[in-house]
Amino acid sequence: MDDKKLVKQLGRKNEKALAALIERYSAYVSTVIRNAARGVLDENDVEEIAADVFIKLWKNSGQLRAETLRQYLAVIARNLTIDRLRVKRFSVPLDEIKTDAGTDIEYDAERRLLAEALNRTISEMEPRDRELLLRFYFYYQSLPEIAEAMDMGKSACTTALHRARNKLKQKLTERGYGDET
Amino acid sequence: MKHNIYDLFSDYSGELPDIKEAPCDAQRIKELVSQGTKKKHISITRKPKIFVISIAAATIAVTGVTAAAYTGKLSLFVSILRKTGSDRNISDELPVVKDGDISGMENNISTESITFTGSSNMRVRTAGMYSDNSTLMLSVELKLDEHTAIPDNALIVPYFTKIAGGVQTELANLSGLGNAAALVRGDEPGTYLASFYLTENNIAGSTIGVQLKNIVSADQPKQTQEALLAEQQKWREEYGADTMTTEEWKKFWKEHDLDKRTREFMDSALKQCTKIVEGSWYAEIVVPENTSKAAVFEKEGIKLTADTLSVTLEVYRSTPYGSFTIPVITFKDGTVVYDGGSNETKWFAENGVLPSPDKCERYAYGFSDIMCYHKPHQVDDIADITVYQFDYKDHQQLVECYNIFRAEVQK
Repeated sequence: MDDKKLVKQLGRKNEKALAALIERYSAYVSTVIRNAARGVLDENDVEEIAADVFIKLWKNSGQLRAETLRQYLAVIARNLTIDRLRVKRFSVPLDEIKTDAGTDIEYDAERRLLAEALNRTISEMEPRDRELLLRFYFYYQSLPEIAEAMDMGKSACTTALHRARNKLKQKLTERGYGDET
Repeated sequence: MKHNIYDLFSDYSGELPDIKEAPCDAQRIKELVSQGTKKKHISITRKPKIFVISIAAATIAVTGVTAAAYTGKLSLFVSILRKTGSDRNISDELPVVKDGDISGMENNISTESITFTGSSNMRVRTAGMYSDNSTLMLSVELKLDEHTAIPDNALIVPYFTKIAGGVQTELANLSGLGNAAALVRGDEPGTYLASFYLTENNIAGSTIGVQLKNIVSADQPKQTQEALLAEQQKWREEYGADTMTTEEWKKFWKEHDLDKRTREFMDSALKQCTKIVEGSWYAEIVVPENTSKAAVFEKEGIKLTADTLSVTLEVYRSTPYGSFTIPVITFKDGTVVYDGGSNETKWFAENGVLPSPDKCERYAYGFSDIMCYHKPHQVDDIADITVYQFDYKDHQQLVECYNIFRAEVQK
């Protein structure tokens, strides 16, 4: 059964559809979690987070679209993992961009706008740059992993990522966010 | 200000590249998901509470209501009920058992005096009991040599059996120290009162064997309970309980008769206790037949049976380890009966479950999913029953609470 039918069945709270989706996507979800955890969470944590991802899927089954199911699972898995790391007081990667926001309210509002701008910017980038950034910032893959996945040499990968990162910051600055640093 | 670029990708909604997937235990994830999505129930063992029973004169002072309308043994028993109630009330100023309640309770009360047989250093007889189909509250009067020194809150230890066709079946897993009841001085020198709750389905009309053993100091049950928890944790580690699902662990527990080992541990602990008074006293008690009709609310694998003095919750599903359920009953006069520790009470208060304090009433006692009221509540007066599930992580961190059952009675 394809994703479209499974998502439709899931919307009707069909447990078999949920089981089929777990069978199909649990390895992907677990991989996303392991990458984001960067080795500091054990396999029990990974399984618990993966289960939480599918529980959220079940709870929100009425609002899902098959076309974006995979992204949905990845985003939930990634974010739940970051939450778990923060709860356990593990550090999370940091790569900052400076903005003009002064207050917390301004900061929150700006963050939402910035995230929208990032979505647009990423979609407009060259496919290779987009893939590099998504592997690095979204999946938390290491440079060797990215180099292998994209069939690149490690130094070439490092250089390409550096350039893609600069392009991203530049594009965001052009949209009114960040500065040249 | 600065934004973390990684965080900005938390809201990414576009296409993602493929990544090389590593295998995982999909079956294990399915089990965890199943436990999480079905909001199942785990049968909880509520720690029995110990009730302090006061003498009549002291109780009258607390409640401000005389027991003069009741005579003889009924007067004594009424005073016991009053103190039992106020001891568990959310506010000491609120008399839980009022005159109207007592009069409504007469059908459930028996004041037959039954004398226990056993060691000659103490005489024991029943002071009264009340019961419905699922619960029995039994009060006893103890007479010791007036020169025997009994410290405050000393405890007497009970064991209960159900007798049918000449066969005795042990009741209540935590019989013994776990059910020990505090002794309170009576009017006469050397006289003490104690009270016990017993929950068991279809208890009405049955014969119950009550054995009382030894009087021990108040700190013994706590120490024993802590030792038992440590022992049971050792079993969990020894048998790898953390690698099992709740159902597997429950099955393992049953197959290896860990209930029996628990009883043996408690028996052994009791033997090692320092005894204030050593002895054993026994009587067989026939629980009165119950004429009241219970109301049954059932749907989606959850069944609630409301009786006059208790409510029984049965859930034919299982929940994540560490979760438990609390039925909250709202009566037509606005009274809400509930239970819970500080986390649950806080949650109820913050989520508008509890009305004003004068309308709140806690369960008097709960064991094995049977919760007892302080006083009779007619099933026709029930307006609403809601069952809340509290999910805990590591038995300490409240993760989530939601209602898993609601039955509203048509007015």
